[in-house]
Formats: sequence, structure tokens, C-alpha cells
Amino acid sequence: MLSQEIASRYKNDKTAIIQMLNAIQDHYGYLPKDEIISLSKSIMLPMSKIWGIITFYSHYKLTRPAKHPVRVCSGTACHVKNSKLLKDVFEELIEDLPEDEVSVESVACLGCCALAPVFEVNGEVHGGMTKKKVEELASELHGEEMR
Amino acid sequence: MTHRIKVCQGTGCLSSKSDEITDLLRMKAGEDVEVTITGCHGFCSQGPIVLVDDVLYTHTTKTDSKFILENHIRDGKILKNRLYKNPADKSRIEKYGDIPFYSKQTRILLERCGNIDPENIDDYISAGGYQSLKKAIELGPEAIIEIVKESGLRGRGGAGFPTGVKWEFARNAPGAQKYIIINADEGDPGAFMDRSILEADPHSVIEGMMIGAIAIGASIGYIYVRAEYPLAVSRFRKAVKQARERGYIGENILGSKFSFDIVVNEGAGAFVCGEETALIASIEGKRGNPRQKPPFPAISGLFGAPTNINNVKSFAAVTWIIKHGAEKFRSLGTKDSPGTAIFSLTGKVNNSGLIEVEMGTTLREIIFGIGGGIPKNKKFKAVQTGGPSGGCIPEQYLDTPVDYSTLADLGSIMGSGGMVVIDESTCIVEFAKYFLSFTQKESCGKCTPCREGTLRAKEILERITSGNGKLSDLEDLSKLARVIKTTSLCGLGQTAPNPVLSTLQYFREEYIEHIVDGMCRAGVCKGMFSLEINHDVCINCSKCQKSCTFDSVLGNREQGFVINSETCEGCRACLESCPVNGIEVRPPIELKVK
Ligand SMILES: Cc1cc2nc3c(=O)[nH]c(=O)nc-3n(C[C@H](O)[C@H](O)[C@H](O)COP(=O)(O)O)c2cc1C
Ligand code: FES
Repeated sequence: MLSQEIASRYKNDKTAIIQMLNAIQDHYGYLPKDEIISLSKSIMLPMSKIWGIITFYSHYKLTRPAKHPVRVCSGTACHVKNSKLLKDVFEELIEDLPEDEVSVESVACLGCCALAPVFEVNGEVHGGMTKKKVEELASELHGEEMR
Repeated sequence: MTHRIKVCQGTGCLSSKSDEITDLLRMKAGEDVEVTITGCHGFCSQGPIVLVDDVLYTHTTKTDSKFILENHIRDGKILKNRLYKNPADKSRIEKYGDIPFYSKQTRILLERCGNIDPENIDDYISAGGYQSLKKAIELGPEAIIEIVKESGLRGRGGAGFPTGVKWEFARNAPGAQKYIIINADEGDPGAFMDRSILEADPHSVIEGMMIGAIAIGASIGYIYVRAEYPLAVSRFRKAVKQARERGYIGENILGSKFSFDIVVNEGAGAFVCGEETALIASIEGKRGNPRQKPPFPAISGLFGAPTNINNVKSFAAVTWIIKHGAEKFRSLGTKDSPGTAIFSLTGKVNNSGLIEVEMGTTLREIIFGIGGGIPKNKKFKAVQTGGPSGGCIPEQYLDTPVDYSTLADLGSIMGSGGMVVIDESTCIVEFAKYFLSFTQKESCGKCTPCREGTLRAKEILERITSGNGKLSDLEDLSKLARVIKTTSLCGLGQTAPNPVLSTLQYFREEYIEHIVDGMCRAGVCKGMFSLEINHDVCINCSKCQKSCTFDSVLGNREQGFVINSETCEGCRACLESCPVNGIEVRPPIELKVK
């Protein structure tokens, strides 16, 4: 199990739980249940505690992410440049795509505020988004699916 | 003569593929050209930025790499159309130092950002790096603390507590094991100062932290970085590794008795973890709940040991102070707040980016001098400082010199350095609601005033922005805000009402307009405005029609355009696209009928 390997990298030290969870999520894109159970055993931290941590931090995901995760910045700089509206437009355009294909979520600031409004697609930052760029992105994603 | 080409590889420029430009340049460059990467110049809106000797190119593309090598380097011909264009008079500016964005700044901590390769320790060392550490080892703890106290440096993470005094507490606290922590959680949405420094000049932060470690007697340091900052994390890790290889980190550093090691700790997305006690809980592997102070971390912090936490910029400042002396630092800025302030200037401003100015510079100089004013000739409305903990400052205070106390007097805070400019197209009530929703979502839920109070306040604001507000709501809102402010457990709750209180103070008439007239003058709140084309200014360019999400702009270029109020959903795309500000916000249609 990956989690055992990761736990031993941190000498099974439970104070490093957040770093371990980060490493597991980096690998899978989310936190698979069996990995968490095995982690709980390796570092002797009850599942209830781990659950408390996972649900406290917004970074953690419990379901497999879509093939193309899209994150729309809702930080202040992006907000005043209407990122919410662009998100609505985008969501409408990709409504017909299956959930495991494209996912859309809001994040608070990607740290590229000078490029606002910002989308992050497959981990890549797209700055200065406009309605036109959003449409292009949506049709690109539609094209991907047909292939 | 050898030429040096520096390609910015900060997150901003990387997003427009500056890595591919670097590769192309490296592939084709001759012997006489050295191609290196740098971190952020702070001028991200102009990226990708390429510096050829001292000429700054903006918006460079992959094809430009060829022209740079053939025209600029070989033939000495500058690529005119890639030079920075001054929005004021449309002139092109060649030299880095001549661009108003830079020439009006005082870049002491950001001096190396954009000039050195952050992934190469030799660049840092030849720029005078690790000299301060050497000096600090010779000085010893007491002398270091004396200098930092003397410099008057106040913490750059928000509250502005004197750094030297804090170090003295931690030094005097009993305990064999002590810790020092870099706070790089940078939770303020809309700010990226710490990120840029870590990406562009990580060693200066490491060096400052080690000086702090000598001062308080710590042998282990942690950095707590936001999970959303992968590049900053990897650059910092690389820097630690290189510093270790050179003997700047490890046992008996530079032949002294001082030993030190650094642990990199990534956060997991919680704003409250920027608060020091919550941050400590998070490093300990717990939920990031803040706790009551005292005891302060200086007495009982990480794993119960005396701990000192400072912001990224505070440590970078220490490195500078030890090198240049306390007096030189004091000669900058104001009496109450010496030194410089770093802001991330964003929002509705022409030159958005990362800037460093002397404390005491006026807001006007920052926004209009360095920032180049508001785009599209729109009207300035307010500037928001301090993120969700700060407030909105209106036009009449633009000539206020910025420092910790002046901003606090205006009902805002200095914060960590976020500065967001808004123009007339931002609704102030919605803006206050935005911040409150943020803090409400990020409230850890431990104390009632913050958990319940922010929710109730948000509900009131939602009522007002949907046209269902009552005048008594304003009274309730101020009362609620004061309770949250005075009774919350940690800084999150204590400052959460600031955006509401400051806007209630300066923009009360806009709240009343929402409640009494059912009108949103900015054209933001749904159902509370209508849009009309002003035919006196309209140039029939058709941009509004093309941009409309709901196909509600009728007409054509010959006969002119009108907005069909029946189908218009108020998406505002036309407002944004109109080049001549020809679309006006009017009261909602129902009202007109009445
Ligand atoms: C809700 C909240 C969020 C905070 N976020 C940050 C942050 O992102 N970065 C930071 O340096 N300090 C933050 N602080 C301030 C820290 O608690 C602490 O005062 C600071 O790191 C001390 O460093 P300094 O003395 O160098 O300013 C935050 C405080 C609160 C209450
Ligand atoms: S506000 Fe969107 S990247 Fe910072």
C-alpha cells in the first residue's frame, strides 16, 4: 500500500499526518478509502481523528476527480473582474459533458491575481479569461470528449 | 560582449508559456549569450517578461525568441512592439528603470526578484547573499535582537508587532528546544506577495529565518506554505537543498557552534491556519483550530516549546537590516512604521502587480502613480486593503500616507499587503457580502460569535442585495458587527466585520439606495437595475452585441443598438466590453412603470 510507504517515509510520526495525506492525494488526485484505513493502522491514529482532519481542510477530496478538473478563482481580484459570471457561463456550456469528464470548482485565489480573472485547467493557469476564451475552452473540452 | 537574457519563470509568466520561450532561446542562443531564468518581476499583467541586458520586453511569444536572438542580439535592433507601452501617452519605454511602474518604487526587499536565478544559489551569493548570516553569527543573539529592535521593523504578516521585541520574548522564554516558523500561508484571497518572494528569492527568506534562529536559540525551523503554491514549495525545497550542500544549513554552520535544519510543511487549504496558534496546531497534525492567547507562542508554541512565527516578508527584511544596518532601514518610511511595504496591487488598475514602496507613500501615488490609474477611464470608487480582515477606503482619503496606524484609523488594516482597487462597476454591498461569505466559510466554528454571527450578518447582506432589505437591517448589522469584533476568539472573527463596518461608514447611501429605492447603482445585484445604451456616446461598434451572453442586444451597426430589457439577465458582459463607457445603469424596469 502506498500509504504504508508514505507513513514510513515520515517514520510513522502521526504529527506528519497532513503531509502524508497531501502525498496520498498528490498521487491519486483524491484520498481513496482503503489507503486512509491502512494509513490509520500504520500510524496508529483512529479513523475518527483522521476524518476530523480531512473534513477540516478544504484541500482534501474523497472522490476521484474528473479527467479535466477546472478550478475557477473566486479570490478578490478575480471576483471584481467577474469570475463568478464566467464560471456560470462555463458551467452552462459544459453541462452536457459527463461528470467524470470535466469538473468545475471555485477556489480562493491561485496567487496569480495580476492576471485576473483566472481559470486553472488540468493544473495549468489560464489568466485574463474572457467570455470568448471560456467558449474556446468549452469547445476544446467537447472536442476532447469526441476523440 | 556577452549578453544576458533573463526569462521570467514566475507563476504568472509560466502560465503564458515562458518555459517554452526559455527552451527555444537556450536551444538557439550562441556562445556569447547566457540564458537564465528568474522569479517574478512583479509585473505579471505584462508577461511573459524577458529581460535582454537592461531592456525589458513584455508579452513575448515563442516566435519572439527568434527575433530577440537575430535582431536584438546580432543586429542590435530592439523589438519596438514588445517594449512596454505606457498607458498614459502610448509611448514605448525601453529600459527597466524608466518604466514608471518601477521608477516610482523603492525596491529593497524585491531588489533581487527578477534579477537572479532562484534555482541557483551562486546567483544569490554573488548578489551578496549569506553575508548577513555570517555577520549574524559574529554578532551573537543579543546584538542581533538589539539591531532588529533598533530598526523598528514591525511584523509584515498583518498585526505589525515589533519583530525585535517578539524575538526577545522567545529568547528569554525557558526551554531547551525552541522553534522558529515562517508563515507562508498567505490566505488573503487576492494577494501574492509571499508567493512571489518565495518563488523569486527564496534564500533571502531562509537567511532571515536563520538569523532569527540564532537570536532566539532555535535549532529547527519550519515553513508553512499554502498547498495552492506548488512552485513556491518546489523552489524553496531546492533552495534548502542547495544551502545544505554549501554548509549554510546543517551542523556547525560556517564553522560556528550554530546548527540548524529546516522542515518544509505544506498546508491543506484553510484560511484560519494563517493565524499563528492554528498554524501551530496544523503543523502538529491537528485540525487548525486557533486557541486562546496567552500563553503566546513565544512561551508555549509548537509541541509546547517556545516558538517564534514571522511572515515571509519580515524575515526578508531582517536579512536586509543585518546587512545594511538599522539606521538605513529607519531612514526609510515613517517614524511609526519604518522601512518599506510590499503590496500586491490588483483589481481595476492599469498596472497590476507586486510593488514595494516606502511606508508613508500615499494611496494616490500607489494607485495612480505606480498603478497607472483605472482602466477605461472609469471612476475610482475605493481601495480595499488587508483582505477579508480589512476595509474599503474611499476617494476622499486617497492622499493618506500608508502605514499601520493611518490605515487602522480609517477602519481598515495594513494586513499582509493585499490591495484591491475597485471602480464604479463594483457594488459596495455585494463586495462586503463577498468578504463576509469568505470569512463565514473559513470560520473554524470553535467560537459562537464568529460561527453564528458571520452567518447572520451574511444573511442580512443577502437580503439587502436581493432587494428585500429593511432599514432596520443597517442598525442590526452594525450591532452584530460590533459583537463579533469584540467577542470572537481569534483574529479571524475579530476582524471579519471590518469590510462591513467600513463600507457602512463610507458608503451608507449605497446601502440605503438598495433598501429604499431597490436600486443597485453599480449594476451588479440581480433584478435591481436595468441597462440602457447611451446613444450620445455609442459608436455603433457592436461589441456589446457580440459579448452578450443572452443575445439581448438588438439592432445592427447601421441602425444602432438597443438592449432588450425583457430578456436581459444583467450579465454585464456589455458593460465590460464597451470601449466608450456607453452603457448606463438605470433603475430597474418595474420601478420606472410605477
Ligand atoms: C485569520 C488570520 C489569518 C492570518 N493569515 C496570515 C497569513 O496568511 N500570513 C501571515 O504572515 N500572517 C497571518 N496572520 C497573522 C499571524 O497570526 C501572525 O501574527 C504573523 O504570522 C506574525 O508574523 P509577523 O510578526 O512577521 O507579522 C493571520 C492572522 C489571522 C487572525
Ligand atoms: S484573486 Fe484570483 S488568482 Fe488571486
